[in-house]
Amino acid sequence: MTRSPNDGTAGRLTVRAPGAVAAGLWLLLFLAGLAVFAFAARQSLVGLAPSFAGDYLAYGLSPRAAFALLGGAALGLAGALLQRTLRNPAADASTLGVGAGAQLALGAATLFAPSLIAEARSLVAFGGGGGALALVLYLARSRNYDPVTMILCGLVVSLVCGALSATLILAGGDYMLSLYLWGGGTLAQTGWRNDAVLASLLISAGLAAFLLRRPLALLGLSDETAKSLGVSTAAIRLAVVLVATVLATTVTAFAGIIGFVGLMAANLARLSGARTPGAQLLAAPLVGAVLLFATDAAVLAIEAVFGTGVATGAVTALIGGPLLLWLLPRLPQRATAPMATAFRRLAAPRAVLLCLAALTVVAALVSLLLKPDATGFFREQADIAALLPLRWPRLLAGASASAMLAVAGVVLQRFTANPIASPEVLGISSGAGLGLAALLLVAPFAGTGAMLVATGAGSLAALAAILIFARAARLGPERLLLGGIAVASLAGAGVTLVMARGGPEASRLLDWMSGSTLRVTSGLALAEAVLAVLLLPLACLAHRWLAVLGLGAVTSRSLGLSPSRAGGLLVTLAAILTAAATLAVGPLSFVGLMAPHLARSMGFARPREQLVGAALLGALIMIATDTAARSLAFPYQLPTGLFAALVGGPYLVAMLLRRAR
Amino acid sequence: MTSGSMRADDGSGVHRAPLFRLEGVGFTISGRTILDDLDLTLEPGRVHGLIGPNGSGKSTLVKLLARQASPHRGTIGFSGRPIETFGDREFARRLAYLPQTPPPTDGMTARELVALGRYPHHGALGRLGAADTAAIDEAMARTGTREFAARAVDTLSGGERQRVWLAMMIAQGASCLVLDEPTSALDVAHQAEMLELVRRLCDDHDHSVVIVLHDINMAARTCDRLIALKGGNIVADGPPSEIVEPEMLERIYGVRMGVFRQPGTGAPIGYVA
Amino acid sequence: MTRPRTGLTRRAFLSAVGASFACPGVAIAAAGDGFAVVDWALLETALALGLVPLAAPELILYRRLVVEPPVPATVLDLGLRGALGFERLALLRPGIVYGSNYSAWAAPQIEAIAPFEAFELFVPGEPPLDKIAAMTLALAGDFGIAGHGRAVVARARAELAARRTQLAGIDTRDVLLVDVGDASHVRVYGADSLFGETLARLGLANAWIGGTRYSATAPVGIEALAAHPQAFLIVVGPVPPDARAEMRQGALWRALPPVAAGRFAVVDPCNAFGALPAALRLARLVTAALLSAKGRSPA
Repeated sequence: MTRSPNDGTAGRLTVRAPGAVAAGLWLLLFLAGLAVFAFAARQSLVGLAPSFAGDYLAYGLSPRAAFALLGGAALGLAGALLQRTLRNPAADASTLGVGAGAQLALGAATLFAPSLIAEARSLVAFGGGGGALALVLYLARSRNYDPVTMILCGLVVSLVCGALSATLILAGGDYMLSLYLWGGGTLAQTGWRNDAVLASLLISAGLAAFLLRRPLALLGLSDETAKSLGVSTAAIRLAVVLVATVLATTVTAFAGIIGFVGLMAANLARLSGARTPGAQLLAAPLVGAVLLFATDAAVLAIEAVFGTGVATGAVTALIGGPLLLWLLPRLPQRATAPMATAFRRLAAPRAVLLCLAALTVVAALVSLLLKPDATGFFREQADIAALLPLRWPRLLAGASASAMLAVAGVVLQRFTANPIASPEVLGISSGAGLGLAALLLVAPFAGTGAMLVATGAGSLAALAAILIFARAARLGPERLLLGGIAVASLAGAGVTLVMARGGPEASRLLDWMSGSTLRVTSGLALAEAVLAVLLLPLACLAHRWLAVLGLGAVTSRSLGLSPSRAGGLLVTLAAILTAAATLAVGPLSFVGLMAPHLARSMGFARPREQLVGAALLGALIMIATDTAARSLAFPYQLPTGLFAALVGGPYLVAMLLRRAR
Repeated sequence: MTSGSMRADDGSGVHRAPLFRLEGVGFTISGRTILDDLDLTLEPGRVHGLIGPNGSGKSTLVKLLARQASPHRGTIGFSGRPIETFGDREFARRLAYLPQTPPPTDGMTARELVALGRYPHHGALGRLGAADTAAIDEAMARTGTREFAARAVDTLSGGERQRVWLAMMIAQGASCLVLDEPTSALDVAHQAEMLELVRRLCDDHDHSVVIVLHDINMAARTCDRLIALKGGNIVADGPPSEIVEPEMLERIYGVRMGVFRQPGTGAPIGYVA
Repeated sequence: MTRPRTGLTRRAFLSAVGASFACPGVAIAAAGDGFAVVDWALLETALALGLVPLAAPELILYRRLVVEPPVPATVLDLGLRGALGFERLALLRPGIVYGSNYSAWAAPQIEAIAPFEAFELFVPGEPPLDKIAAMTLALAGDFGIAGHGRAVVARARAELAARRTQLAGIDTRDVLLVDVGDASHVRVYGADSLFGETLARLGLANAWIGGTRYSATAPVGIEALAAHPQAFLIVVGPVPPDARAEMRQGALWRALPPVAAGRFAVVDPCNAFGALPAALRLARLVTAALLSAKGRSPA
């Protein structure tokens, strides 16, 4: 084994491990997996009728073992290809939104085009996964495909897709049970058909990868270098990404989201001494196959011994989460293009703020007085009196929560100097979800008060985890985002494990995830309003910190502002704002991402103006979407938080793209 | 260590505390020694140039002086006190630092950026008073940046942008400026203009300057004293006339160099032989 | 839409008349005419009693999955059961709103609109049919048609008994009742589910003795069904389309002992959290499936 040179992105991660020893260890893990699998198979065959036991071994267990090997190999190869071609060691089907996109497409097809899914399941999954990946890459383009930004975009897209899937499941009722199972990632097979498809795909993809191995080696360098060596980078990149997407989405089509296998396989292959692209493309599938096989064998054994179902895909995510945590601080930082310059600036921001405030009040009045199906306004006193008690709490709670999210978004975007930072990707809302999942596991019918405590505790635990992680990595803004991503991924895996159990807790979790303001009581609304009134001025007082911190740690220090101390306080404030808001509008409104942008593009350039402007815009956005969500499909209610995300998504994409130009 | 022990005679008969006094300062990054047991004293009211080849430790040294990092070994005294005893804002009122690559300013106008220089004075909550406004105006006047006060910093040319950053440092009101290669991205005319500005600040306002420069001739033209680093050690220290000598330059840069005198001023010019 | 309010509402008047079966504890303050339901079990029951609510939830899905009793076109839709349209409810000003423990989450909002009565019907580990019968009687009592209520309950018992007699001649008494999730997973209805208890009333044995949650198991792999080789496997619809193909062609499905032996049927959708009408519908579907299988079987 020679000393590994710095081979582009991977160089810093390479540890010199004698390849033979590593290979021996992987073989040992495979044998251990085989032993566990044999044990689990014997256990599960014991109770079966002898006539069926043979069939189960032939058509159930064996295809499952084969699928674990093939699926692991496919994901490993996909991960290695993506990491190589995107020069991002954290790239993986699950970190780039491919899995979530495929899941959404399959869910939508199950509900709206059932015949399509019976005939072209893989194709549907490919459409969804490919679409999600395209969106992620399109968004990441604006920051020069910076790895951290790419993973952030992947998380945002995954979260939106996940929320959409949750809504589909809610709307589809018990019929959508299959999606529960499938979301957790289960490798169970009922024959050899999926194996056959996957095997043929793997062979062709392997062949393609073999043929592309030389150009791939060059892609590890910069585009300019590769181009100057005569490689058509765009075409090769596209081809490689397509191959990887087909592999990953086919696995997703047959088995659901198997989290982080590609991420683990490709990185562990590299750590095991696979240095050249050729060796990596060979080693990553092997490592992936062993990983997934061993994990699934363990899951089978747990099922055989304890009799409870466990989702393999969530287990791999739980194993891979810590790896991501370790990996993220080591991601290469790509020089990002300087921020676009020509922002509009308002000549009289105060006047515009006043207009916005007036507009918010008008919107609130309209929302309160509009007929339920939005065909006109109420005139009768009695009708207004009947609906007011239903409307004001969700209006007040929604507006307060959104204002808080918007302010948290401004704080985070300014502090991290990253326009894609937002409370949603800080992992705090995911932590709240995990807290709720834990509660519902113990008490499926827990009341609102207990839910508040659980989400609050979950948020704080997530915040603590992020801060510890960020402090260990010396609280740089980027580190903070990375900690958030890792915590969000881990918490998401935990929620999926609970969700895969089905049962009432699953539907209540889904309901919370979709961000319905329907259950807001007057007490919660008042609490949200009080919190907003208390916390928002606090954020405004810190406007100078935001201006200084926006210039980076070095300049902050030289101006006498300790970035770790001030940053820590600001992040804590953002976390508290987020936790409070999440109680009312769920984890996924993306107001915290949208409102700061909108305020900025309107010309609120200085931190103080942007804070107030974003808060007002956030409230305005939420009032408008809440009204639309309750009226558009009346009497059916769309979940407000999700509807906001749906409306805001396209706007945000356009916004980020324009900013990039 | 008492402040008395750090006094030095600046030759004028008046005792002033040395600007910096480094004793046994060392700095290591993952096992690699960047600075090795450095002893150095810098005097107030003068322009000190730090020169040396790439990786010689000059950037690390200015980071230590600007308190952007702490030494792993040894002590640094600043204005007669151990450097770590200063409060964050107290230190910022005495020393301003310009990093090698100033950060992007996210749409901020020139005047807004310069105004941030007043942070060490008013803090997070204090009002921007008349004294602050006056300091900002004066800093912009002195650097000739008034004409683009309302323009976004990102839209300025490289030379204009560096002048705005310098204005921010002046607005900070610090008497000691530490600059890390402020001219590396500028053309020759703007390099000269920038260094002229730095020189004038020192002469007219009794500021002290520590500046890292790549170009030995620009350094010789601007500085009162040159300190050359190589491999984390000081290899030369003295007035430019003593440093810009063929054998000295060869010791510093490791290539054969020649020196001739500028016809008009007689200033030494080094060139690669 | 507003209705005149009278001091003594029709409902209160009727309750007073049928005092023997009405719940005297429920006091209705300022109630309007008519009632609404926010749960399908209550909707089924009301319709079976001949009572037509002003509004009920998720009628689009009800018409597809619950099917009977049919909902008159006059009943307004309240939206998803998990996301009720309170505004419509508020504007209708019902005299009372009925629901089950599954709609208890909405109590704060509903109680601000009208008195809310939530029946505890589905509790894990407790068979629901007696509670459903009691709920049917209570509902009838509320509307002063207690006699009619008793008749409906009695008729349901009689129908179940008749089906039991019909099934006396079949060979296989063990039945596995499942819901298909995806091609390789099912949920099994346990003894504490409405379907499980209905099987018992039909004199059939629920082959599944493992634990259940939420009235059915957490999803289990289909191989678990093979632990009961003698049972008759009944899949309650709807079946996801890709799973349907797999059930026909998949090697493992075809190897399942009940499927291999032809003791296998797929029946129409039925409401697992319904009331007496759902139980009767399931009884009818199961009986038909078992009898037609018997007719087919060579023995």
